[in-house]
Amino acid sequence: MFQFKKIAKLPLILIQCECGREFLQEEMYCCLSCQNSMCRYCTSNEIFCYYCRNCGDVQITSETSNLTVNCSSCFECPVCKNVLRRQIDTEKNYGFTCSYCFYTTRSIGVTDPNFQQVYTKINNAYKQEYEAEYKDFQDQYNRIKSIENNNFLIKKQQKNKHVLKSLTQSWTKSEALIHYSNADIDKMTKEKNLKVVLQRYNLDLNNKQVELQDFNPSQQTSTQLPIPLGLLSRKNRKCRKCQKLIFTLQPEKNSKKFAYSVQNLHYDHAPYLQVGKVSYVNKEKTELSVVIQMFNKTKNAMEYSFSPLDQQILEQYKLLTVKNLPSPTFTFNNDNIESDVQQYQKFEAILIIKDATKIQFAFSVSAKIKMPMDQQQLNYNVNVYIGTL
Amino acid sequence: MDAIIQYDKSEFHETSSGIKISKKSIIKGTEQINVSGRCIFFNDVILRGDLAKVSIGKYLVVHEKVTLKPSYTYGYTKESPTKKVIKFLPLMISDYVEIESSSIIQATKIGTCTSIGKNCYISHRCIIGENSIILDDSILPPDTVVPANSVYGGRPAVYIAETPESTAIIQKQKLINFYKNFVPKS
Repeated sequence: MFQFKKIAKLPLILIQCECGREFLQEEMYCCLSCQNSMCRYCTSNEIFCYYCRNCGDVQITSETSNLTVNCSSCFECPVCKNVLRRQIDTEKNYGFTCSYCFYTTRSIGVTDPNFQQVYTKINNAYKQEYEAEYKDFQDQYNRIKSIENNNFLIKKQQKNKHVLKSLTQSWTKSEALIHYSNADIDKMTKEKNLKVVLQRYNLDLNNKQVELQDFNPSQQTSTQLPIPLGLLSRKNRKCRKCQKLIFTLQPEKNSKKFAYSVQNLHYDHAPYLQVGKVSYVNKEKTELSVVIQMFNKTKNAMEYSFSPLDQQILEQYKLLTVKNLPSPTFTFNNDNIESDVQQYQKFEAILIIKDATKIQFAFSVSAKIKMPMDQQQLNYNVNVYIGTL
Repeated sequence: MDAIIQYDKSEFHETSSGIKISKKSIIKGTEQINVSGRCIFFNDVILRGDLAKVSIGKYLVVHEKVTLKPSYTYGYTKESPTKKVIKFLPLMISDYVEIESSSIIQATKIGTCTSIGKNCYISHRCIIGENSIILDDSILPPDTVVPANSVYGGRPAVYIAETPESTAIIQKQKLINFYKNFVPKS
């Protein structure tokens, strides 16, 4: 996933998660039941739907039972990985072409006056290449499906308690397990094609490293088949500790817009920090003054409290000491939230520079929320990066 | 803290709706251009409204040497029902979009809260979804569809990563602050 920390300019405010990673304030998530703000790595993902990035075809996991790995109507160029588009010849034969390099399916011989026949030709060409493996795959897939169906029936009967126990006992000794003994099942699990069966869901594309290379499309030639386009996924987020949903998607059959029904961002429950003026106080340049502005962008009033870090931690990591912190708690109402004038609190801290240009201080925020819970509290660490002046 | 950018009032036109256009930019076909407001066009920007309709949202920032040109297709018209002729399609740019310098854009639609990098070439009939990022030095071939919340880059541009859920918030804040800090010299 993309990180905005790489693009952001100094001076910068980052929030430190419990795992040690730092993110922008907008990129952090919040679990109200755990009263903790967390980063993307501290949340677990649950796949909500699969979609094609070209045609926008959406497959929601809860609704459909036959999920596919690749899109049925879109293909990828084997040379440059661009999505192919349809082409009509002067002879009125359909085919696929790449608009970036000059790859066409005509060079392979996959053209037809009927466009749907082009798909069958590509699938048949794939079958011929992988015919033997395809047969083994089909046989084992059918075997495993039958096992699953039998296991499903067993579980269904066990649920019905009024069914006599003798039936279940006779079923355990019955033909289903005789045909598929434990040894047979162990064999099948060791074979390679099972991995393909169990991995019914497409693997998400990890962060690719893009390198610019000299690419001359006219010099590229390929006799390969077009590659079926893999599906991408959208996910819901859950807290790892309490398994409560943090982000949930609305079911929409349009991949160009994704709306969220539940969203809990750190930004929605904590004050927004911004670095104001930064300047030296002394001629010797040993003291630095930083003005930090805090905005309340939520709908609720908040109480802030600051707690500076221990001296041991400051000395260990050669961090700056913060002086002149504001009073332990002060309230910040947002009565004028409807008006454009933003209320903010600001405090000025005089700092003593040791080595680095990094400030670290911890503070906690307690927010009063009307419903459903009375009072929520969030504790988190904030790092302020200033850079050289 | 965002840096304050000061400009000479003599070098920029400013309208009542808050649009700031530099006098060194080339804008044609103003009758067909519709801008919502609070946009900034820097030097050497070329905006072709004479070819087709151009509709622009609010808080658009277009940096130096950018060309915005409507895309085209081949089709039949009433005037030439038998022979194919070039037809220009309208260009639509939504709110909170930033376009970096030296890029050429011929897309049909650019969604909200997107950012396009430097030296990009976006070919004709491309559709860019909302909350997406296109990296520097990338080329989008014609007819590409960039889905929402995605990062594209490379030559040709390929799906790289997914953007976080809060990109809309980040992009809006960035562009609102940029517009506020773009202030004339006193």
